[in-house]
Amino acid sequence: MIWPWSSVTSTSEQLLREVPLFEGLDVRGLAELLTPRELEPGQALWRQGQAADALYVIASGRVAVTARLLGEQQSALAELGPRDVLGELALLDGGTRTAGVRALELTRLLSLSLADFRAVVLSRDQGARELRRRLTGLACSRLGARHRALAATLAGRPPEVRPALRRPTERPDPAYLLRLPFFRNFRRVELDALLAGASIEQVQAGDLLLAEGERSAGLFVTLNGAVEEVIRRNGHTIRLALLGPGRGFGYAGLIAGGATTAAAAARERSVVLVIAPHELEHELEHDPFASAIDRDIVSALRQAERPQAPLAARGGTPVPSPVR
Amino acid sequence: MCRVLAYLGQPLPLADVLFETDNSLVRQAHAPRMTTMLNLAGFGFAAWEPGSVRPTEPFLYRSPMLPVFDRNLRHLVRKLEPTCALAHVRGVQLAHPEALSDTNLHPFCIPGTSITFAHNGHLREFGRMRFALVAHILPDILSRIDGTSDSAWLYALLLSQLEDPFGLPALDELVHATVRTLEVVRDIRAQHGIDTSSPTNLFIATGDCVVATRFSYDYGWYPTADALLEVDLPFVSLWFTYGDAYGSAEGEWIMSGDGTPRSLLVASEPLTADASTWLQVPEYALLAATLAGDDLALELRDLDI
Repeated sequence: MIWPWSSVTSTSEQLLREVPLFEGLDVRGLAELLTPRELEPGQALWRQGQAADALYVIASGRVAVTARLLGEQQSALAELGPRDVLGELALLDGGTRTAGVRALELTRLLSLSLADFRAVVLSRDQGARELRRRLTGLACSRLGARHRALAATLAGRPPEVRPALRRPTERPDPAYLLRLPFFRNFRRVELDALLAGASIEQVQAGDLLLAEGERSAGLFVTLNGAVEEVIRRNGHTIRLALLGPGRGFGYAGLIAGGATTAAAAARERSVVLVIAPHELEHELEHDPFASAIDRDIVSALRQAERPQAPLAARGGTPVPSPVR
Repeated sequence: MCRVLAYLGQPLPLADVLFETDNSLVRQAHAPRMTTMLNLAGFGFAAWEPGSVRPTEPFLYRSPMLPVFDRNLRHLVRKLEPTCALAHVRGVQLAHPEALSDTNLHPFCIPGTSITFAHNGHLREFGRMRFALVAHILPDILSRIDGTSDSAWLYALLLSQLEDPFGLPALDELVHATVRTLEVVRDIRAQHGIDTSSPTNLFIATGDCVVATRFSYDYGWYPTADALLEVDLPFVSLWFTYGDAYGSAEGEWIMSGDGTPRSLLVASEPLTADASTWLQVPEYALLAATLAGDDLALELRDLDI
């Protein structure tokens, strides 16, 4: 149901200004794109697994966020009310909803669609561009928080180990690189410019690239081979992700302003691209690099927030996901 | 990239998982969700029904026909409620039409055994390895290899790792044979200097056991200008779900129950677009399950190969 905009006491612009995610932003351009929506009690805003195509701000009312789990189990994740934001990661990379949302009472919301958001970012609207930076930072912070929650399920501290020495190696064929997910929207000239400020390095299987709890040496992108992100405590390991060709790592802590929340070790002999922290800051100002980071962090977050199957030989403890 | 489904547990209407769910195995032949490669080179299944004649032998069906057009298949599976099943839709590169053949259809099952086998993946440069494999395959099995594909030879290699390929192995022996198969291939690749990505998701079903691997050799390394690069960039997928019984409840296909395993589905892709009630088998892992009466024992192990 569409609710009459005149029936709310604040304008969409005022509402956005009261939402922490939009605080201090020039929201005039964004406010014009908002679409009102009304939910009856019990009505679903979206179901888990549906395409994620919009961000919502709650103007009034309350909603429940729940995730379906294995079998007929469900996990109640949150209840949200006025000025809360829902589904914000949809604006970074679409994908599918990782939890369902249902109204607990008559609820009025404003939605900002992915298509409109992309258009306004391309038009260089300052508010939209800053919102995108904030969403990227938010996704990086959430990934770190998820890692810390998983680490808290194991006793002990991270092992004190030093990353292995990485050896410089030859740059892979650009035609190959342009077929990898991270670079798929790059033109050749953009790839060459990125590579000019980066180093290409190789490691052997088992080599540690990043130690948990330290400042990352930069953004890494796997070019060949595969790297595991892991949390290790007292001989127990939780494998967070396997990062094959075209997947990034090591940047979430740099963007969120903290240390790495997981170790990264080569599972296969690997070649990685490394971009130093100061170059990363510069590159994040530009597309297609910023879009590549957005896709990568959303993919990493969705993987990390899925319930994990326990591996008997590794001793990791499965943890129900706080999926949102 | 082929798509596979294995089942173990309470009697399951086979038509449900082959045809009825919104991402059923037959649909994955022409509209897979997690690979860009179509699987139009044939279909097959093995199924065990305790109430059937000779219940330890599987019902076997293989056809090079596209399963969505196979009316015989539709009619047959409506009558089947197996407690164990292994089904497969086959993908073959357009560049290799010679690989199309009845004898290359999965699941493989040499006459006289109850051990069925399917493969989701491909061994790059298999032609260079084939003859080195001969030394690791029992003569009795070697003479019965009909197929020409890497999968046909992997099956023969697996059977040759068992104490009695024509007996019914316990789960531990089946797991050991699976690991040994992967190790033998690893060693032969090393001897021949083969070091490019070769996804090797194996599925073995015996009627009361199911074993599945999510594995790749040298993941992330590809030949120059490789035609299969986009197919092989993601680690080959494998998902599972378990519970009381799989079925439709309020319009949704799920495993009923509280998560206690009495039935297990393992598949290259979840059988529904909504994957929230499925778990990913971790990369480099082996899933093993055995059924004894109503009890299903289930274990995931790391594959350090």
